[in-house]
Amino acid sequence: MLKRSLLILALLSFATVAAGAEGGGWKQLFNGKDLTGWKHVGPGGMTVEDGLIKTHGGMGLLYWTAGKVGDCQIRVVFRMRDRNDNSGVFIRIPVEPREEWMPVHYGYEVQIDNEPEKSNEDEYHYTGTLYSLTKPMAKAGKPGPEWNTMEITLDGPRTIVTVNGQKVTDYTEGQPVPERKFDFEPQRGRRPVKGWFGLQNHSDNDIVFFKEVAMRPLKK
Amino acid sequence: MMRRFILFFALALLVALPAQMPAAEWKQLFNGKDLTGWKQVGPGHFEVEDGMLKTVGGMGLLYYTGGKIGNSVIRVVFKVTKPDDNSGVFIRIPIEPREEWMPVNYGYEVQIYDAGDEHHCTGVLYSLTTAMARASKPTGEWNTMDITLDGPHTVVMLNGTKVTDYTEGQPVPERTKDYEPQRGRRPNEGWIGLQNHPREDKSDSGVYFKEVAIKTLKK
Repeated sequence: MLKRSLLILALLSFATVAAGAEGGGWKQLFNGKDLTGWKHVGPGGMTVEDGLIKTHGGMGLLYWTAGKVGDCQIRVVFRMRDRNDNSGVFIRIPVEPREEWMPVHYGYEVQIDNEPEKSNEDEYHYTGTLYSLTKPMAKAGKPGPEWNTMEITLDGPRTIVTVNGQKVTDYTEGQPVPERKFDFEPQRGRRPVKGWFGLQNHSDNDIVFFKEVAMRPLKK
Repeated sequence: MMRRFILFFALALLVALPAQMPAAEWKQLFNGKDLTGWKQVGPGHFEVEDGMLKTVGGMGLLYYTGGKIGNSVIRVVFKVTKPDDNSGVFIRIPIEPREEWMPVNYGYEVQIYDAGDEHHCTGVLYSLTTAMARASKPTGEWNTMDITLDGPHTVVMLNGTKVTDYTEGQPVPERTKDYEPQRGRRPNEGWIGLQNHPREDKSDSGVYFKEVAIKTLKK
């Protein structure tokens, strides 16, 4: 009986490790303690509390300072403080950010917002979409305070986003997008294959926590 | 007689050719007729009037769509119609512009504004360098501005007088206004453009450009 329990325990541990962040070639970009390797630009900021990155004010972004990334997967584990809060993950930013608007207009924001209708935005502004540009293939965001896992695949000019295991976005550069409706929406046009990336802090009313930001190269 | 004539003709050609060479090195980017090769982003626009580019509204820019430029001299010949007319020449823009603020924050604007202080007047890198001279012609007269992009070194000559001599990495004053450019290095090569900017009282500036040309730096 004990042997069987041990076997089960061993199998469970194995499964947990394989599914966990340490497996599968993931490299942790947030050390759980401080913002080493990250830099903030624009209004507001980010702090680390209880091992989590916490957004303050905005709109700004905390970008990863090590350079451009492409042909990789980015995994972000986040939760909203309230039932719904606004944040996002910037990708494909062509030059190192100095302020918050170049990333909007020349990169993409993978949106975090489960209730875009409350700010008069349509479903192209839902969690997991390329903000204002793609239509969600699924609405898979969980309300706060539940944790969500977002995986962003940058495969050359193709961008795939899954939220909690469901595919929300599958977009390849050059495919048609809707017209720009608001002046805060991104300018249209191609984004680069490799770019800087970062986490958005949206406003005082939108507090989002990140417990993991990880990356692994694409297997080719 | 015929032989001598041919010899004379050949010699004349030899003499004439070298004298012609420098002028031929300039490539005109504005054809004097329309905006072929240029694209507007941001508010306002440019009009072609009597063979000249004229600024309307703003703030926006008309950028040259032929790609990045470095190791070159850019020549603009311009005039203002009021002392507080405002315009400029964007240089070293790292990526193709889609709107007006990325060029401000990641490129440089060589300022055109005679009413500005020593960090914001004609020929300086807007808000970043101190004018070495005030070299503008009186309102209404043509000015020639030559902007040399020599790797990370930027020199601005206004009517033959040096106004700016700046190399990437040299210290600059702190940013004091939210519309001033973010500090930091600019690339050796970048997109270029002409700024359309209204006056302080919001009326259109009347800045005219009659020539925009480039030539490659000899190395």
